[in-house]
Amino acid sequence: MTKHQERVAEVYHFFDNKDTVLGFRKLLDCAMDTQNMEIYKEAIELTDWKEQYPTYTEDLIEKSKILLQKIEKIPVKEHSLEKSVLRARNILKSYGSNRFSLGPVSMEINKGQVYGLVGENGNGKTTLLRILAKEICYNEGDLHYSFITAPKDEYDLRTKLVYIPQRTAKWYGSLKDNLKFVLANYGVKPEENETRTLMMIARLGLWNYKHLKWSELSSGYKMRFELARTLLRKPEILLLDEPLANLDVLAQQVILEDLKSIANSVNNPIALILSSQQLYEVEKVSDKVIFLKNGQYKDNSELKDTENDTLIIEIDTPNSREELLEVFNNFNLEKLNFNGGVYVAYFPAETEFYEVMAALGNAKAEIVYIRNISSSTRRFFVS
Amino acid sequence: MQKIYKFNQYVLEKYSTVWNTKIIWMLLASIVVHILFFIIGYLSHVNPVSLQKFEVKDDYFRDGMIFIHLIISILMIVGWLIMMFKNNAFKNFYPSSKSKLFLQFVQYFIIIFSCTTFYFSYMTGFKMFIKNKYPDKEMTSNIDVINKAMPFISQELNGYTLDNRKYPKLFNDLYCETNINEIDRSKKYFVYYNKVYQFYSLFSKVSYKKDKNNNYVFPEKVNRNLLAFSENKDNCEVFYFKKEVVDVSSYIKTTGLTYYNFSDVFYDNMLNNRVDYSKDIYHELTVEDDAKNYQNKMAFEVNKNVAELLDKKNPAEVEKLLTQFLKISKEFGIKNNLEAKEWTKMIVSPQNPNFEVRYFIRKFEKTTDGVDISDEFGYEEAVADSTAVVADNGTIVNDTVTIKTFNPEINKEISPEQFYKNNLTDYYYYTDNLKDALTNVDTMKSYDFFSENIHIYIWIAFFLSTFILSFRITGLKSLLFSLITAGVLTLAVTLLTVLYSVMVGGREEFFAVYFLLILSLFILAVPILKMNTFNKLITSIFVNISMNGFVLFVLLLFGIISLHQRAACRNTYEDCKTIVEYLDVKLSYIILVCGFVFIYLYTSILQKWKARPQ
Repeated sequence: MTKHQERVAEVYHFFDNKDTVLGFRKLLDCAMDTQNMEIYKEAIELTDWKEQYPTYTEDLIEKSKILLQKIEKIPVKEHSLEKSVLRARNILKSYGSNRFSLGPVSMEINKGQVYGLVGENGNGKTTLLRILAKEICYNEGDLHYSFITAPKDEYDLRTKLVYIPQRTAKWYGSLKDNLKFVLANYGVKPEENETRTLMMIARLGLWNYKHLKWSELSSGYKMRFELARTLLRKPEILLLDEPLANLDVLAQQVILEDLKSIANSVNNPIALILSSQQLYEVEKVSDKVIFLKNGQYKDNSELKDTENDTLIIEIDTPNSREELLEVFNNFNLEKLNFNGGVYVAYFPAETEFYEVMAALGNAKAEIVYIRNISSSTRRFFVS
Repeated sequence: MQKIYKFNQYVLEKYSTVWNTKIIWMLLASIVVHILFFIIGYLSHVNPVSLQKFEVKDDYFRDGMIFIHLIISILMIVGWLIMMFKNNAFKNFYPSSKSKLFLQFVQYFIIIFSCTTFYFSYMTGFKMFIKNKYPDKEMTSNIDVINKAMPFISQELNGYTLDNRKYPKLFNDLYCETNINEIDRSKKYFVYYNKVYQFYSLFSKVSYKKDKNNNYVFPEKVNRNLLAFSENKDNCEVFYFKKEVVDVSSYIKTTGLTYYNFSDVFYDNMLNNRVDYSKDIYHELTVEDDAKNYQNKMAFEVNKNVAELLDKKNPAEVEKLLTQFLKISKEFGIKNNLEAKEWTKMIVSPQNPNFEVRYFIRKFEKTTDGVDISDEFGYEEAVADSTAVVADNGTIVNDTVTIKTFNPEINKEISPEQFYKNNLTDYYYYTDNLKDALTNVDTMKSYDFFSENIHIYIWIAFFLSTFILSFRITGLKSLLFSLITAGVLTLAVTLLTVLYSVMVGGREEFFAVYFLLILSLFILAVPILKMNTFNKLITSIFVNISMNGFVLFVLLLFGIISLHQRAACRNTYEDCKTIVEYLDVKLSYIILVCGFVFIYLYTSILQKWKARPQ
């Protein structure tokens, strides 16, 4: 069974469970992987039908499955994920008279991987992304890219380094024309231009927004259109600066899921690096989380090796410090920090998380939120 | 609308740059405006009266059309820029190539050129109208009639005096001396009031040698006092000298004002062209003399025609000519109150066998407020020739003293001025208007408005295109900084040149051009050779100045060469042309080609600059 067929089987599974929302998005992913214009057209038709009759779930499942059968039969060329698309070695950047310096940063990313870039404001996230996108220069280190076709010159390289800043520029004119303009510039066949554009619009859930003006869109949809424009460029590496800013929690999850599955495309996998303040959400989708503090680099892989000898629990409770200390009396508590909103409790490595929860339960402590952050970069923020 | 949308989508999918620049729509819009201007041009001078002023070919700039043109051009270009600036593939790092960028620039040039050249359509329409309304053949016959009838519009005294006589051919070969100090009183002469005429045969001497002042040497062994006039030829000067007095009294029926004497060529297209358009200063004299010969020939024809017509003593024939003339005048909308029958009676009558001029026609309509312009004109022109004479030794001799030796009865005779005033009728004819109309018709037919004006429009389009390209490539901030830098540099060059001329002095122009040359070479070299030396913003200033100023740099090179050439032949009388003078308008095209080639080659620098990290 090929990877493509596995993906199609997953989609069948979603539809069997009547999970049409996620199922349909995954269906479109599989359809996109085929690079077959006939499939694209049918997927577009189906999206149009779905938007017209949003309540006809059964019919949608049936139609989707018919399309899936066709998609399954199309052979999809799998792309190798072995080679890293970006290799950075000891990148160092300092601003002015040693006001701020970033690095040294060394990293490597393969296609299909998602890296999260976290850290407090002013710690160099945007700087690092812009260095990787060749927007700004660095003082020391090596930066190496390897793409399917080697760039002819520096400008050609920049066309392949797709970076979306936090504040994207306004679009003028018809949204669809803007998207078609991208494809036309990338030399897509004229007869495929419309179909590919509509397919991308459908995939990013923009079907009902395609006739609006830029100023009529909410920030979430502006980001989606920006993503659509970017993805039409078929990037091999994608650098996103705070794509989740201004989005509500649900929208954040949806867009992250979308990004993850688009990056994981069978046919056209993308190496994705995104910066965000939403640590929890980013950690969920990322293969690696990079934490920057004062320009210094740390990532969550280090946690597993060196520092994971402590159980660290984050607790939000109205109870007092004394009450908590009483509950943890039997646990050999190393320290208990209160940083204004939440408590952070440090236990020896042998302590189990469920035991701590049980103790809190038994003491009838009022828990608003509790999380084991031992292996999360969250611990860097609270320490 | 659906079709337009579909077409737009087709262009977008297939030719993204063409879609972005909106060249198709802009060209269509400009074609519509061009057609509109063509129609306006065609209809602008439908009323023949509109041709009765000086230099109608410049009406476009005088009658406000230029303002309409400017407003439309500005609106079109601003609208176009708003549409085009919606998308910028280069700014977004979409794939690009040298040829794609260059073609974009060419499209800007074509769009701006088509949106700023409505003048040519207007003039084409205007010229076409003139050619259709006044065909060459008809004009030739009209001018023939006009020249034949003009002698009978007796508006100025001067045209009818004896010295104008050209026919029979004998007169054409003789020289009429009118200077009373030069008159040989022992030979036959003619007197009219205060004027004396004596006819001489001539002999000529040719001089090929030039003196150090670049003038032809006066022939040796000939008395300078005998010189009548001289003519400049291509490589020589012909000096004409008075030989001996010829008695022509058998041909002269009256020494007074007669139609027989009239030989002025009222209008001739050939003369109009030759005199007005002899631009070549080195050959101007030749052209003028050539024209003089032609004019002489024409004058003979005019005089011959008058004489032959009058000799027939047939009022019907005169009336027929005048009727024809008035018909043409009506076509040209010339203001007059002449009536052929009455007019003929003023010329041909049994009481006037010598066809003397007895009635005068006004140049302007008689005004009711008492100020009669015709009076003033007639009077002034009548006396212009006869007040004083400059003697050989340079003193002014009052001729009324010496004239008495020729005409003792002068005080009893009525003066020509008084005669003119007494016989001025209420008839009027606006001859100046007719001349203007004829001149304008012929000028418009031959006016090469395209070659004369194309360069200004080419350069407007070129500079605007490079400016827009700069904006699209480097952005507003860089462009503004570049403008400021260019201003500061200009100021610096000026101040340094002034400082140099005050402190060192001499050959300031060389200092200025070489200083500019070094500065330009530095600005050009930085982006080409040392792209990464300065930061991106500063490099963009060099890029912008290079792009917008390269053609000026080429002009500077030609200027330097020409400056050296001029300096090299400053002390010689050689006819040495500098390269700029030699190339003339071709220089404009050469620099334009250089500009386009430069932009094409420079696109790789633009890509390199854009790809640079900050």
